[in-house]
Amino acid sequence: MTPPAALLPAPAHAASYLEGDMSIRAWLTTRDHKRIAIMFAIAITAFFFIGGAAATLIRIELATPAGDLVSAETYNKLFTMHGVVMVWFFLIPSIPATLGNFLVPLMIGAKDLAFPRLNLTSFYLYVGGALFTLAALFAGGVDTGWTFYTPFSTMFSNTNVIAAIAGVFIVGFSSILTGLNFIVTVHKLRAPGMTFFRLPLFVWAIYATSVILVLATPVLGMTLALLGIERIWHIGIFDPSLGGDPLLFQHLFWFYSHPAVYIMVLPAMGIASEIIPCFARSPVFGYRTMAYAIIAIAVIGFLVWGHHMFVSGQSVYAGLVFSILSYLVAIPSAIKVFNWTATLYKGSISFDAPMIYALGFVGLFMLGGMSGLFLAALALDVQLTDTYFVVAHFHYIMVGGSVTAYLAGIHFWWPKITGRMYPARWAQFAAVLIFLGFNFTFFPQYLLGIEGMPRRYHEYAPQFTTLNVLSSAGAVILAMGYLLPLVYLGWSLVRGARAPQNPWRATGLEWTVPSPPPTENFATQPHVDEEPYAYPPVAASRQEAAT
Amino acid sequence: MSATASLGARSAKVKPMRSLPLRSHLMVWLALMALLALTAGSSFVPLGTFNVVVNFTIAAIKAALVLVFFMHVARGEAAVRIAAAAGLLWLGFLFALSFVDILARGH
Amino acid sequence: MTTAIASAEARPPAETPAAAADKPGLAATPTLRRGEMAFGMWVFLTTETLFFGVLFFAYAAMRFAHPAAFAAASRHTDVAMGTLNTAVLLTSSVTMALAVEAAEIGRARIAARLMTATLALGIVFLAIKGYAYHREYTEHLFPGAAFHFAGPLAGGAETFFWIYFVTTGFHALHLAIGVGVVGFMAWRLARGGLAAQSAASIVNAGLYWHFVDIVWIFLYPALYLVSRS
Repeated sequence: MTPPAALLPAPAHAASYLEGDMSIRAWLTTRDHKRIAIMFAIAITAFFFIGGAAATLIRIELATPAGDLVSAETYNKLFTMHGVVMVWFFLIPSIPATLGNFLVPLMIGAKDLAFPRLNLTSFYLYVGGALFTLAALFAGGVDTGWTFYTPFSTMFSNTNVIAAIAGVFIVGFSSILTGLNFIVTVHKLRAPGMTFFRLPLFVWAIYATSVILVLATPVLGMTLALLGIERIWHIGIFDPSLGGDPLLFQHLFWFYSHPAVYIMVLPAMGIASEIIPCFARSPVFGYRTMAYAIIAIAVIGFLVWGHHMFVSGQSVYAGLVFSILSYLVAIPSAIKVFNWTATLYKGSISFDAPMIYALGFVGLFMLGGMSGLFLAALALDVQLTDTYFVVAHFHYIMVGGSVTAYLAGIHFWWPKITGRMYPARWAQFAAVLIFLGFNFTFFPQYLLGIEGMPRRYHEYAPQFTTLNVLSSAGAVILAMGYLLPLVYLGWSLVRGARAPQNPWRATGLEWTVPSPPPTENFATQPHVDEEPYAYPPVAASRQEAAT
Repeated sequence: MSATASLGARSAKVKPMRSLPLRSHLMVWLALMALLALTAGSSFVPLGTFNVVVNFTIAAIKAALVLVFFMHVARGEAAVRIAAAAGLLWLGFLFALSFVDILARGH
Repeated sequence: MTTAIASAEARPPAETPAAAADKPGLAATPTLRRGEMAFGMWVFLTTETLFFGVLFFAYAAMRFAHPAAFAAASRHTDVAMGTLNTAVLLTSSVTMALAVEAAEIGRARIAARLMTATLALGIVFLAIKGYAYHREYTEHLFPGAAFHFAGPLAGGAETFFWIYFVTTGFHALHLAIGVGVVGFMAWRLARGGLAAQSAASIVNAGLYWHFVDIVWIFLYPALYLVSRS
């Protein structure tokens, strides 16, 4: 029986996208989705380390109970910057603008996105927003928290709120245009035979993420605009003394910011769905269910935002409704975890670095998700809100989940993107180090939260010391783990072995082109006539078992 | 195969030169003006809360006329209609769930 | 199970444009391109719906909180100018829709004239709006230090007026952008016909223009007709 297309050799070599015009000008005016993806990757990596620097200072401060490293005001600025940078300048754009940009056209058999110039515009909007935010940072920072709650942000904060929200507003347009581009691309540019239910789950995930980007981000934009207007002209939408309602800000803010966490996690799930079948040599279990679950998460995710407001003064009836809906949104996520596990069952599993990261993602996402179930219960949340339990919950999902999956994807597609192989042992070591460092850093924070340690304080009561020291020590290990890929991936660019077309023997159209791909992606238009994840040995035996 | 086929197939056929659909557009314009007169006029009639209902219903009808006859939302492919509907539905989510709070505040 | 590459070699070589139009991606044709552009604009309009939707939501929440103040304040808006503006904008949608039809059947000069009429009506709208703003400013209805509203409902009235200025302000901004775009396209169309200015872009400009009209269709009753009886 003939193997899937991805395992056949590619036609004669055309110039790769990394050859040809390599001048700065060519790169900065490129319309090639692959080059734009690289530029995004460099930018978000820089911001990851800026956000990481803020986190480092936070963990150093919290290694001792006394607030002795920085003042309380400075600490407020540190966690604000950490949040703003990590959410809007790293996590939200990370997978979509880098791996999504690079891979979606390849995965659907197209030569670029629907609107290549708009793609470049997205990049420059990101840069513009980034510059405003850096300006806010260098002008002394912002101290409102990344959530910009009113009336502190509108009336009492003396820091550079306007510059910061301008930066976020601008980068929001970058998000919107990226999402728009992906939606049109997936609808219109699929190769013949690439029906929706033959799309790789990564494309489904990017598509659903794009729908969220397009529907949620405009709400954030207008909300920040209103915040700015209120701060400058004291008009009174959010100010109770002028007849306004601070909860209005929270409703509007979280209407975006809850779906935003699904912007961060859905692409990560998409990556897991590509890697796990490959390294288990087994088709994904329940492909259609996985696709429907992605859509369900994207839609239901818009209906739960009030669970961030249980103690805000919101009506108890609203709290009830949001609590029930929050439990509902957990169901499709859980289904996905079951299906990844079922994909592994009776598979032929190998532990290459991408797989270690992917399995780490599933476990850490599951832990983070389960802690969310605690927080969705109204009564429990009254105790746990604004404690380190919440901090641990979202770091398990965003860092243990999204960042781990991002690294998984980088390691999986690195040979395709760069044409180089990285040293396998180093990568496996770093993956394990990150997993261990992560748990050492954040598991103690669950316990701290249960014991009552509040978040966003630069000092704490002495009884919390041991767990905080453990957490800060873990952060050292985690930081080392994150620095390692910079070293060996950078090394691979100059000294790594040349990558074959399909080093992992994976399915998918991106593996049918050379590593790295030519600028035009495909020499001839692909025609798709096979189901996704058709991994030969196990697929054949399962087919026989089913007949 | 896909939703784009209809668009491609239509333009690929050779069609006779259409003339401008002046009559139908004039009819829509008259309808819009009549609805405008109705909404403005009815506002001066004291109907209590019903004024709001009438005004926003008329606004919705006007918007529907523009969507159907000028933006051709019905002529477009399914994805276009879903995009239009999604915008409105999602606003509905924002309004509905927030007003569960706003209406029940203080209870 | 056949492979992608084997089937590519077995396919017949020549394809008619009609058949090629069915195949997206590498074989993108102008017709397909038009479909992508229009769909892209609809997605963009969805984002704009959410963007303006926030303002309508804020309006609804504040009106619910201050019903009497909103009623009193709304009576200070000039309903004659508001109604006239609505008529102007609705008419401009008709001319724009006809312009798009004209462009699609290849009648560039008629399309250019209709687009000029559209932008002229848009300018009339902005002029009337500007005059209304000026009048409201001199009546001390602009929120801020100079705001003055007689009676105990002043707080809620000021809230009404900031919503009024912010929503109509964002709307006017969008309309001004529309005027610019339509004007630029009309100029290119007049100079070089449909080769210089594609019908696909004009369709998109039309969609945008109609959207801006729809926003006003809802702003009008919300701001001008709260309590006129």
